[in-house]
Amino acid sequence: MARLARQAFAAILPLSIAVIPWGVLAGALAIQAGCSPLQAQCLSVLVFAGAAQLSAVTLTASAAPVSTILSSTVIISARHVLYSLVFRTHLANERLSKRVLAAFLLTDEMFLVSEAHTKRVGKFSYWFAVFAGGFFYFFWNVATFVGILVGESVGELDALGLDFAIVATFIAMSVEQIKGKPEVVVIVCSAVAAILLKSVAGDVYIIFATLIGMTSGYLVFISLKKDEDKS
Amino acid sequence: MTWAVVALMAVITFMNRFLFLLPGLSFVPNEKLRLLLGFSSLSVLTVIWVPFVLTWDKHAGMSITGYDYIIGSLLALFLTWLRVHTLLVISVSFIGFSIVRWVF
Repeated sequence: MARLARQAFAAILPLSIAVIPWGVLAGALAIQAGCSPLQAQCLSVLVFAGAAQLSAVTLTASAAPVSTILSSTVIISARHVLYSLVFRTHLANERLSKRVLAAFLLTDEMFLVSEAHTKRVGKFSYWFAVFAGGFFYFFWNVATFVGILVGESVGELDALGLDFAIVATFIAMSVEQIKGKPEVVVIVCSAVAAILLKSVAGDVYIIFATLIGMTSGYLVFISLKKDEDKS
Repeated sequence: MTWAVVALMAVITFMNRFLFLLPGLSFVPNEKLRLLLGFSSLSVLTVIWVPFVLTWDKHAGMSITGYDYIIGSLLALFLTWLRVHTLLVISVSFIGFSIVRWVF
C-alpha cells in the first residue's frame, strides 16, 4: 500500500505542481469576487473543480444571475460524466462508500493519471486512483489557501501567463500516449474540432469536440483492424 | 456568492462524477464502448490545451495567442517526443515560454 501511495504521488506530482497557479488564482479571484475566506476555501473543499470554480467566481464578480453560474457549472463539469462511465467498468463491484470516495476525487488529473497507470500495468488499481486523487485534492486546497492569503496580487499573477503550465502539462500527457495512427488522428481531429467549436459553442465545446476526437480515433482503429484481418 | 450557490455547485460537480457509479444502474459498457472511451483522455487533453494556443473566429480567421505560446508548445512537443520526464518538459518549456514572452 505504501509503495502504491508513493507511485501515485510521483505520478500526480507534475500535475499537482502545474495546478498550483490555478489553485492560487481560484482562491484569490474568489476573494476579489466578494466571497468570504471561508466560502473561498469551501469552494475548493466541496466543489473541487478548477474550471467550474474559476468560471463561477468570474461570473459572480460580473454580477451574473445564479442560474447562469449553475448552468456554467453543469456544462464545464459535464465531461466528468465521461470519466464516471470509464470508471464504471473498473468499479462495478466496489462498495458504495468506495464509489463515493472515488467519484468525489474524480478530476481530469486523477482520471488521466489513473488511466495511464491502468494501461501501463494492465489492470485498474482503486487505491492508486484514490491516493492520486487525494494528493491532488491536498495540493489544490493548499494552493487555494495561499490564493486567499495573496488575494490582492491577482493582477500580477495573471500577467505571468501561468496558464501555459497547463498547456505544457497537457501536451506532455497527450503526446506520450501516441502509439499509432488512431492516437494521431484523435489529436488532430480533437484539435480542429476544439478550435472551430469553441468560437461557436462556448464552454460546451469541450463535450462535442471530445466526442468527435474519440469517434475519429475509434473509426480509424476499427478500419485498421479490418485491413489487418483481411491481410 | 451565497452558501446555497456553493452547496449547489458541490452537488452538481459530484453528481456529474457519480452518475455512472450509481449502484442502481445495471448498464455495463461493451467492448466497442470501452474502446471508444479509451481515447477519451487523449481527446479531452487535446481539446483543453489547443484553444490556449490557437483560436479561430469567423471574421478574423485562425490566429495564434502569441509567439510565446507557440514556441513554448513546440518546445514541449519536442521534449515529450524525446521522452523527457514530464516535470522537466513543463519546467524547460515554461522557461522557454517566459524567455520568448520577455524578449517580445
